[in-house]
Amino acid sequence: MKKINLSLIITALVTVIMISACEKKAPELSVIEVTLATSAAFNGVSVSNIPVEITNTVDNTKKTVLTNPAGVALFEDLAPSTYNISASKELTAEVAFNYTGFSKALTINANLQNIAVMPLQTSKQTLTLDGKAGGDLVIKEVYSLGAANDGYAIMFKDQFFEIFNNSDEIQYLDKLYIAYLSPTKAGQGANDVPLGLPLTSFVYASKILQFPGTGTQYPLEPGMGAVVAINAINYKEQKPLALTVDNSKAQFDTYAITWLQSLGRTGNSFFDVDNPNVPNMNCIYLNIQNNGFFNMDDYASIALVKSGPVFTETIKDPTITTSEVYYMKIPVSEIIDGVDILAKSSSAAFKRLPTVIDAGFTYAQENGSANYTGKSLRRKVAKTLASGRKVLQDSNNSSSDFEVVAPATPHSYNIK
Amino acid sequence: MKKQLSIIGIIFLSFGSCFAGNSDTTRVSDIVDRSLQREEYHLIFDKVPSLLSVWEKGDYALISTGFSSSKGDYTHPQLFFSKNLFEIRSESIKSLPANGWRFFGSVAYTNGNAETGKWNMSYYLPTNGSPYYYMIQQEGTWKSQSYDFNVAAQKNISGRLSAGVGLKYLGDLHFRTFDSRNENTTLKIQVLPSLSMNLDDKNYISIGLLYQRLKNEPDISNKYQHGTEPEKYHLFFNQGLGTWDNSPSQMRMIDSRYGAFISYRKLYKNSSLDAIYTMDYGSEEWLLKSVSTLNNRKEEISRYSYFSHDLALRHRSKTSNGSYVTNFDVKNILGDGAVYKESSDAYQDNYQFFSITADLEVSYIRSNSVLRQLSARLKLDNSSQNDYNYGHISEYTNIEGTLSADVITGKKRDVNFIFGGHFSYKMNLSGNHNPMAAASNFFNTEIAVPAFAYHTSDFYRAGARVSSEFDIAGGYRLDISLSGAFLKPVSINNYENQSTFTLNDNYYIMSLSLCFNF
Repeated sequence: MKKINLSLIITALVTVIMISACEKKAPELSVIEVTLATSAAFNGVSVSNIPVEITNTVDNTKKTVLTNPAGVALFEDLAPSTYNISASKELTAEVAFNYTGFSKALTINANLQNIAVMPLQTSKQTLTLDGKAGGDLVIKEVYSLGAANDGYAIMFKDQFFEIFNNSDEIQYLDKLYIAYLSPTKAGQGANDVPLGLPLTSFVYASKILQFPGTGTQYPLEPGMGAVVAINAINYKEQKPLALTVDNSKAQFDTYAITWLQSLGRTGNSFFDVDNPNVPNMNCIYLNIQNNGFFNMDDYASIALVKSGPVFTETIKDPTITTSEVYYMKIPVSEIIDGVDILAKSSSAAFKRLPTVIDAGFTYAQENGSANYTGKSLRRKVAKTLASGRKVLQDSNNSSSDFEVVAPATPHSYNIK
Repeated sequence: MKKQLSIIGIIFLSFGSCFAGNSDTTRVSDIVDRSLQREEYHLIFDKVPSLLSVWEKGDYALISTGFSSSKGDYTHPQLFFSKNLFEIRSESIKSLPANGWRFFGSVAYTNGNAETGKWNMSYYLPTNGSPYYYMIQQEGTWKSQSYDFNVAAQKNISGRLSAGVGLKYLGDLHFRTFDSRNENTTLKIQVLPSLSMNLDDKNYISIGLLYQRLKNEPDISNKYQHGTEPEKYHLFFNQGLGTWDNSPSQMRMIDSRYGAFISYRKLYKNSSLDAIYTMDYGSEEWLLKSVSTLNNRKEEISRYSYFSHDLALRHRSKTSNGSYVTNFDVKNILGDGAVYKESSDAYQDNYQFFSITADLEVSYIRSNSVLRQLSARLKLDNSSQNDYNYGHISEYTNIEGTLSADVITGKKRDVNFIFGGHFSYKMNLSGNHNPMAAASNFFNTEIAVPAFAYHTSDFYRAGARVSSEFDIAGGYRLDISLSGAFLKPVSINNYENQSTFTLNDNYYIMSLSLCFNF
C-alpha cells in the first residue's frame, strides 16, 4: 500500500515538472518614434521638451512623452494597435508676433490619426507643428445630443450652439456663417463609411446658416456669448425633470419653413418651431430637398466662417451610391473657428476638419452611443480675469480644449 | 424531431433502469458506502464505458433532490455574490447478466438564480482557458436552468472483449432578468465509444475515443443608455488580457473537441489500480451570426485552440477492518488564442493559456468503527495567462490541503446518524501580475487586478455535515443531509487596495438534500 501510494506521488510530481517546462511567448510589443518638426511659417521654434501624446484608439489609453533636444519622443512597450498622435506648443504673444505678425498668444499643433502599428514594429512618424492665430470669436459650446429623461417629448429639439467673444474688443456677428459639416456619419456604427474627400483646402457642409445684420447690428461684448437655438423655447419649463435647457433667452433662432416654401420645398413643422421674439438666422444651404430643418447631427462638427464669400460650389458624396447627396464646399482659409465632434474615441477616420483648424476631435463618451443623454461639449476656461471675464482655452485642438457637461450650459461664461 | 426522439430515449433509459426494482444500493451498509459506490462510477467507469464489464459494486438506483444556497462578498469579481440552486436527479446502474449488458443512466434538472457578477454576460467563465466572452460592467440578476442527460451502455462481445459507449447531453439556459436582457444557451453533446480487453482476469486494458461539441448561442439585447444613467451598459467582447472589441456583432460559439484515451486496470489480491490517460484537442470558434457580403467580413472573428491532458489514478486496497482509497488526478491545458483583424485581413495570435491542476486524496474507511472515514486531500493549482500583444501576464500557484472525518452513530438498520466535518487551508505559493502595456487598460484595473487579488489570497474553509438514513416503506432507504461550509480570507497577498473584498468578508454555502435509494 505504502509503495503504491509513494509511486503515485512520484508520478504526480514528475508529471507536474515535465508539463511545467512549457515556455511563454515573449511580448510582441511595438515602438513609436515621433519626430517633431515645424511648418515653414514657424521655422525656428524649438521642438525640444514638448509633450507628445499618443492615444490607443482601441482601448482609449493615453501615454505622454517629452521630446528630447532633437525633437524626438520615443514610445516603447506599446500594444500593437492603431494610434492617434498629437503634440502642441504654446507661443507667447511676443514669440508669436515673430511668426504671425499678430501680438497674440498662439498654440501650434500637430496631429496624426489612425497610425497602425504592427507587432514588434518600430513605427517612425514625423509631426509638423502648425497653426494660425486664434480667432477672437470661438465656438464655446455645442449641444447636439438631445435631452435626457424627457420621455422622448423633447428629443433633439433643444439643440443649440454658442459663439463666444474671447477677445477684449467688441466683435460683430453680422453676416458670419455657421457650417454644419459632413458626413453625417461620425463612426458610431460598424457600417459607417468616412467621406474620403481631402480636407486640405475645403471642408464640406450639409447645412449653412448666416447671422442676420448688415455689419454692426449684432455686437458681442468681450466675455459674452451668443446662443443660436434650433428652437428658442424654454424646454426646462415644459419638462422640469428632464435634462434639457431653457433656450428662450437665445439670441438667435433657426427657422427654415418659410425659406423652404419660397423655394418650392417643404419644411418640418414638428421639429422646426419659430419664436417670433427672437431673430432668425438666415438660411443659406440645406442639402435635404424636403422635410428638412437646421438641426445638427448627433455628433456635430461645426465651423464659424467669415462673412463675405458666396458659396456656390457643391460636391457629390462619393460614398453614397443609392441617391445623390451634395455638400457645399467651404474654403479652409475662410474658417474662423471649428470644432470636430465625433461619435467616440476610435472615430478619428471621420474627422471633418483639417488639423490646422482642429488638431484633434472631441466626443461625449469614449464608446459612443451618447444620444439623448443631455450631454454637451463645452470649451474649457483658460483663465478668469480680475474683471470677471473668462478667457477660454483655444489651442485649436478640441481634444484638450473641450469638456463634457450635463446638462448643457447656455450663457454660462457670460460676465454677470 | 430526431433530437426530441433521442432525448426521450435517454430519459427512458435513465428512468427505466431506475425503477427496475430493488438494487444493491439498499443492501450496502450506509451512506458512506453508497457515496463510494457512486464515486467509483464517476471517477473510472464514466470515463471508460466498456470497463463496466468489471463493475463490481452492484446495481444501484436513486432519486435525489437538493437545494443549495451560497452567499458572500469573498468570491471572484466576475462571478456571483449570491446563488441559489435547486436540483433533482435520478441515477442508476442496471445489469442484465443473462444478456451481457450493463447500463448506466442519469438525468438531472437544475433551476436557480444568481446575483451580481460584473463584466460577465456568460454566467460562467470559460473553464478551458479561453479568453472569449461578452461582458458589460453592469452587474446582473440571473436565472438559470440546466438539463443533464448521461447514459452509458456496455456489452460483453466475447469472453475477453467488451464494448461500451457513453453519451452525454447537457442543455442549459442562463439569462439576465433585467438591465440588459441576455440569453445564453449552451448545448453540449459528448460521445465516448470504448473497447476493453481482459488480458488474464487481473489485467485489463481499454482504449476509446472522445468527441464533444459545445454550441453556445448568446442572444444579446444590449441596453440602450438612457439619460443620466451611468455608462455601465456598453457591450464588449473580451479577447485577451486587455484585448477586446468594443462594438461586437452577434456571434455564436462552437467548441469541438476530439480526443482519445487509454486505461489500464490491475487487480491484486486485496487491491486494485486504475489508470486513465486522456488527451484531446479542442477548437473554439466565435462565428458571426450573419455575415454581410457587402463588407466582405470574415465569419470567424476569434478562435481558441487547446490541448488538454488528463491522467487519473485510483487505487483501492482492503485491510482487515476497512479499506484505503487513493485518488490522484492531474490535468493540463495549453491553449492559444487568435483574433481576426479586419485592417490586415489576417488572424493575429495574441493569447496563451497554461494551467495544471493536481489533486491527491487519500481516504481510510473503517468498517466497524464510530470513526467511519478519514480523508486527507492536497490540491495544487497553477494557472498562467499571457496576452503578448500587451505583454500582460497573470500567473499564480496555489495549494490547498483538506482534512475531513465522518463519525457514525452505529450500524443500525432502522436509523443511522452521520456527522462529518472538514477543514481546508488554501495558500498562495507564488504570483506574478505584470500588465505592461495594459496598465491603463480598463481590463487591467477593473478585472485583472481584482481577479488576481482573489486568486492569490489565502483562505480557510470549515465545513460540517449532518446526515441521517433510515428505511422507508417498500424496503427503500432514505438519506437526508444538511451541510454547510464557511470560507474566510486570511491574507490578501497582492493589490489589497484594489481587491473587491476585505479580510472581514466571507462566503458560505448551505445545502440540504434528500435521496431515495432503491
